[in-house]
Amino acid sequence: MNLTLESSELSGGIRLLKLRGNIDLMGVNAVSTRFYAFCGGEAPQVRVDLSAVEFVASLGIGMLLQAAKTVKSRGGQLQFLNPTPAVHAALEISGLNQFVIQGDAAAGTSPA
Amino acid sequence: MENQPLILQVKNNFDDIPAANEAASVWLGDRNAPPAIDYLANLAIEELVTNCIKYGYDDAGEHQVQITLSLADNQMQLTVTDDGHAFNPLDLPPPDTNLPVEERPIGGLGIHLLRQMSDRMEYVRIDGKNQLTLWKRYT
Repeated sequence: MNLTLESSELSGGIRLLKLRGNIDLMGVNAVSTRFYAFCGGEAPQVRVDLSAVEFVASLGIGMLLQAAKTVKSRGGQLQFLNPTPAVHAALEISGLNQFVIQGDAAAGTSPA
Repeated sequence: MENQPLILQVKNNFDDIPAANEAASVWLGDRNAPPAIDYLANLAIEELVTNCIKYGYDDAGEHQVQITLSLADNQMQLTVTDDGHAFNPLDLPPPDTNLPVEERPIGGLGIHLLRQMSDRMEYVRIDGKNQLTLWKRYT
């Protein structure tokens, strides 16, 4: 399934990015430039909704890691919201579990 | 349902990977393989064929990468065979996933993911070809 990226603004300037589909080679090629653009600026607050991502390959993990590095280097905060079990397992194996927020804690991030 | 393996020939072209993944998913679905097996098969095809294309060849010519997928006794076996130069990815050290994110390199996670998600992986060099196989049991 082709990867799509939707963005919205939450209260407090939080950027909510919704990825939908497979974060594979094709997916990364399709969205990475736009995805990284949302990680710029001063102290960016970025939430990435992964609830509709069905598959992530290592290139996709690399895209998410690059976003985490960029946001952190700018003094911001990034979180991955509600990944599906298979994607969550891949994030955990890759050492990115610290950025994962599940369930009610992520449910409060609705658009302003 | 016949118990013959699925054999796919993929050119060393990134555009051919989605069709191979789709064919593997259809084949596994027809045999009622669980979602975790489908996920791992797709991940293995994506990672291993991508590695072949990126690093396996010193020339720009066309090559064939063969994927052999089988199910038997509640176990999936997937083998990727390529005629690239000899390379055992299982010799690579695992990435340090405990490093602070700002110190983490990008890349090197594909084989790590496959090793963690499969039960076993083996590499052999045979008849001038690399052959990497992974196994995964399911219930």
